[in-house]
Amino acid sequence: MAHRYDMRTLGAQIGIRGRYYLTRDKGDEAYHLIKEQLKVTSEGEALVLVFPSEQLVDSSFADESVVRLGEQIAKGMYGERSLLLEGLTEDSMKNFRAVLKLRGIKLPLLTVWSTGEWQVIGSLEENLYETLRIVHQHEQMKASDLGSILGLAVNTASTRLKRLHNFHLVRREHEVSEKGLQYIYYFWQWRQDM
Amino acid sequence: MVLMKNINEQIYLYLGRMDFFEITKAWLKPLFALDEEWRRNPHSINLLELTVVSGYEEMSAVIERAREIFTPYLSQDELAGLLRVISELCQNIYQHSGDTNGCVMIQKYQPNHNEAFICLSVGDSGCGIRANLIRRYSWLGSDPIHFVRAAMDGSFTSRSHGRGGLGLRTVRNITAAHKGYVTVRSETAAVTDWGKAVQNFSNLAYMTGTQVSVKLSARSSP
Repeated sequence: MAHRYDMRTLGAQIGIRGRYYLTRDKGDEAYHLIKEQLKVTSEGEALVLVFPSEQLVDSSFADESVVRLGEQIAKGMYGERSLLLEGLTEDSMKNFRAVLKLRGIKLPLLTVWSTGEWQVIGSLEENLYETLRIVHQHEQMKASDLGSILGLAVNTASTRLKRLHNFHLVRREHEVSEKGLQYIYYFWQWRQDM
Repeated sequence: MVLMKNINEQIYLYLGRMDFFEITKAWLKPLFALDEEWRRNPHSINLLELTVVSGYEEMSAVIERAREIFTPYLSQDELAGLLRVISELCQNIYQHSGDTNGCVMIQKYQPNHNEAFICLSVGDSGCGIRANLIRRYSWLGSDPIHFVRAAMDGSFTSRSHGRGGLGLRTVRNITAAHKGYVTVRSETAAVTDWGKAVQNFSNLAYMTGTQVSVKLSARSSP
C-alpha cells in the first residue's frame, strides 16, 4: 500500500507554472504541503510524490522540499514511513544529485517509475545497493535468508538490512517466535497492484 | 534621465536588438537615435533578449524560452547545466536583491565551425551582496570583496533558517564543468572563477546591485 500524492495538485496550490518546480521559495511552500501529506500517511506506508512527465525540478526546489524532508525522515521524525519520488526526469535527477553532493549529505533517495523500475539517487555503498536489489526481488527478507543468499554471517546480513532501514529504503516489521525476535524487511510499494 | 551619446553604431544596433532601450526607456535616452535596426527573428536560435525577472512566473518563462532556443544546439548535459544556471541566478535577482527590475539575457556565439559558447548575464540594481549578507556575517568586515567571495563559497546564506547559499557555488561548478567561467560583481568588487583559478578585483568603480556574467562552452552547431 502507498499514499500517492500528485505533484500537479501541489503545483496548482502554490502557483507552479506547468511542469517547472523551481526556486527555493516554491520549494519551501511545497515542503509544508508534503509534510502534511506525510503526517496522514499510515505507518508502514510510503508517501509517493508523483511528478508529471517532462517536469523540471531545480536544485533549490529539491533542496528546500524533498531533501529537507528526507533528512527529517532519516532522523526518525516520521516513524516507519518513507518518501518515494515517482516519474523524475533525468534532468531533475541530476539536480537532486547535485544538491546532495553540494551539501555533502548521505541521503539516498528512492526514485521509482510506473513501469516498476526503481533507482537510488544519492550515495549508497555497492553492498547496500546489492542488498536492496535482493530485497526487491524477494519482496521480503530476513537476515538469515540474506546471509544464505550472499554467503554472509547472519550478523553481517543483519547489519546491512538495518542500515537500509535506517535510510528508510526498506520498511521493517517484527515477529516473535521460538527463535526470539526477528525482523522482516520489505521493499516499499508504490503502485496499487504491487 | 541618463543621456547616451556618441554610441558606436554597431553597439547601438546590438543594444536595440537586445531590447536594452526598451527595458531602460523610463530612465535612459540615446541621443541621435538611429532609424535603422537589425532585423528581428522572433524564433531566434541565438539569443534571449534582455528580460525582466521579477518573480517565479517570469523566471519559468525564461527557462522555457531558453529550452526552446537552445535545445537544438546543446547536448542534454549542456542544456541541463544552462537551465540550472539560469534558475539559480534569476532566483537571486528577485529573492535577494530587492530589485523587481533585474534582468537576464543570453546569447550563443560561434566564432568558428569548431566551437560555440553560451554567454549569459544577469543584473540588478538592488542592495548588493554585502548588504544581503552583512546582518548574519558582519565579521567579514566592510570590504565588498569578502562578501562576494563568501557568496560564491556556498556556505553563507542570508536566509534565516540557514538553508540556501548554494546558488553561486552551483553556478561555479557548472561553469567549471563546461570549461567556462563566472564573474560576480557587486559594488566595488568582482570575482572571476574559472574552476581551477580565481581572480579577485577590488577597488573597482562603484556599481549598485549585483551583476553576474557566465560563459559556457557548447558543442559546435552541426
